[in-house]
Amino acid sequence: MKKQPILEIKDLHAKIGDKEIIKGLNLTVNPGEVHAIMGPNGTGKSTLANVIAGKDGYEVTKGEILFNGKNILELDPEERALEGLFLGFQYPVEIPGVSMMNFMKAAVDAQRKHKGLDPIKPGEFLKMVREKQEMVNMPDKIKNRSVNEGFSGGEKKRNEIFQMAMLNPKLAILDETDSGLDIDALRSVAEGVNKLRNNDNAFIVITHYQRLLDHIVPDIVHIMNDGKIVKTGDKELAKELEAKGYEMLKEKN
Amino acid sequence: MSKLQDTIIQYLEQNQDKLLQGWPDFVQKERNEAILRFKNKGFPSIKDEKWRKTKLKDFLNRYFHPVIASLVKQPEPITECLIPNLETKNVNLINGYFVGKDLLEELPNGVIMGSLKEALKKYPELIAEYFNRLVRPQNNPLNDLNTALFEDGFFLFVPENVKNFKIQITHRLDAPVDALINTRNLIIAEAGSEITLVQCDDSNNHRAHFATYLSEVFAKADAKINWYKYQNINNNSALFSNSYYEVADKAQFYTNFFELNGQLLRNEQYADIIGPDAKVDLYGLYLTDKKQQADNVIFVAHSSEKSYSNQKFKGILDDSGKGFFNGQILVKKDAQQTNAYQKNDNILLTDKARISSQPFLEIYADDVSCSHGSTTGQIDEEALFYIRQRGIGKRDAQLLQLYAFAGEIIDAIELTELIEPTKDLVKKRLNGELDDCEDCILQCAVKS
Repeated sequence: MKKQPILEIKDLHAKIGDKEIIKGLNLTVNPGEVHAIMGPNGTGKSTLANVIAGKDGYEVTKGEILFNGKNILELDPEERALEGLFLGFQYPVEIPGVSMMNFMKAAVDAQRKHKGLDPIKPGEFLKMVREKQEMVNMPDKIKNRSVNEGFSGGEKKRNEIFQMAMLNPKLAILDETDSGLDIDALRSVAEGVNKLRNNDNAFIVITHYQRLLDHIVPDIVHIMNDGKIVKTGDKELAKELEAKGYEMLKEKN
Repeated sequence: MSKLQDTIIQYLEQNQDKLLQGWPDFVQKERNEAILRFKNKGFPSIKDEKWRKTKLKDFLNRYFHPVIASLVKQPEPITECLIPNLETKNVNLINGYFVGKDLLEELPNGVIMGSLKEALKKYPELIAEYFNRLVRPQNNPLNDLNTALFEDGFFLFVPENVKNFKIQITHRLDAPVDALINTRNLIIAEAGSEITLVQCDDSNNHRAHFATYLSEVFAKADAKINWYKYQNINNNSALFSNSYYEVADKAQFYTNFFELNGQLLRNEQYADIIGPDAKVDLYGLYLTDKKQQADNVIFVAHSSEKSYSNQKFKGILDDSGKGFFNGQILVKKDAQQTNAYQKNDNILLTDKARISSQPFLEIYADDVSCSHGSTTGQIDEEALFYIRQRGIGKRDAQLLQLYAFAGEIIDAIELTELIEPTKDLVKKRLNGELDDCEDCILQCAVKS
């Protein structure tokens, strides 16, 4: 029996202030799939990620977003997160004074509460932290500090993957997670994602560069332009894009 | 003239003899002068620069009983301020009166502590050296009121080189009628001594109090004083705490005030650094909501070279809460190589919350390092979204951030045993739990 899509976006239109950024976007993501979204700057890739995650400041004027069949447009960001949505931020925020461990425990407990479970016991939590730390090769220093405080760009991105591992979402949207990373960090990030990939979850990887997709091999590649998805293909499409550049979008399909 | 002023002046005139009876000459002298000044000047108005943002009207238009007698007939059990099971001396004052079996204790190491009234009877020459000395140049109406009407207060004398003296002081407001409470404190730390004071300003009922706590503190050469204060009084009361410090060479003076609840909490601190190589650190956290107001007025004067001072105050203002920060640094001509700093950071949670933050730097020496800064902002929306995207609800996300903001002042606490209780207090306050004590039939003390 065919599994229900994790994400269905139908004719989405969204604007910031008076400016329409998403201009009729359709996307379906099924369990077990990794989708890549590529496209020039300013085309709405991050906007799309933020609209799905429920960030303030964006107005959806048309269309719907179904998450496991449920319309999430009326849900707060935390409610969408508890449904199983994770956003790896393009620019992870520094939160001085909030310890990484307290933050993660609060997030894990929020999930458990949503499922009717008690808060996680400290011993169990530490075990979980060590496990995921190993899984994504995250250095100790990250977990002992305030959230993202004083982290380099690469450390921040690795911290996103660590949090993703801790929260084990149904759908993870990684917004330019590879930007600013050297090849080693990139490999670590990709390794983490690949370890978490299974038949029940899905990923949307937003990226500029083909090289990440050598390590996180996508099932489906979309090219976004001017607020819409204009071309969809398999991983070869990404290679074609790399070879021809965005000029190819001007070619007749 | 306001109703309260009328009440007070009437009382002063009808009780001229009673007010002087039994006090040493030097106290009588100060008292007479204070009474005259108060009669002539009255309460501050909004025309006074440091009172422009403070609504005294609501209090001045009410009747408060000018002087109430000590309530305590038998010795009550003495409560600790904040930390149970810590090796400290514990003293209590209720409605400005020192209470306890021993009104004045003389410890084996030479420490004298207890009721100022008793101390004035037993050690008048000692106290005459210090009484009103720091206040005199700074006379303002609330000081005059205090000098005119105080009945008692707290006295502490720590001899030279007595180290590690810790004391918890609880000032409790518990008047049976709406009342004026005037408490006078004097603390003398002789050369090389070390004192840690942990003070709780509480109220035990819902009556309106108009309270002045006036403290003079002398830190002699190489003395070390750490003074922590927790203010949690009912929302019908105003507490004016004016504290004057004289800081001698190599002395270290540190205060950290947690201003948690009260209709009006005003803390004025005046530090006169008279010797070189001294260090003054003044920290504070004020949390106001509903219609509360927290004022912090600071004045640090550097008269001598190579000293250091730092003012660090943070505030979170919710509902129609107000804050007033007025911080002055004066560096005199001979105070070369002074390091003096000031920072005031605020978060406003609503459109109606207000903060007025005023720095003043007056620098006459030319080889100094001074800075001041003030920020006022809202909760970081980006950070809020980030936290919520991890599944944490909006209110919890805000609490996390606010607590992180307050963290800097909590991190400044040096006495380890105070850290967790302070964290709990701040957490409860941010979560609205301390307010429940207002309506709670059990009327818990701060430590519950």
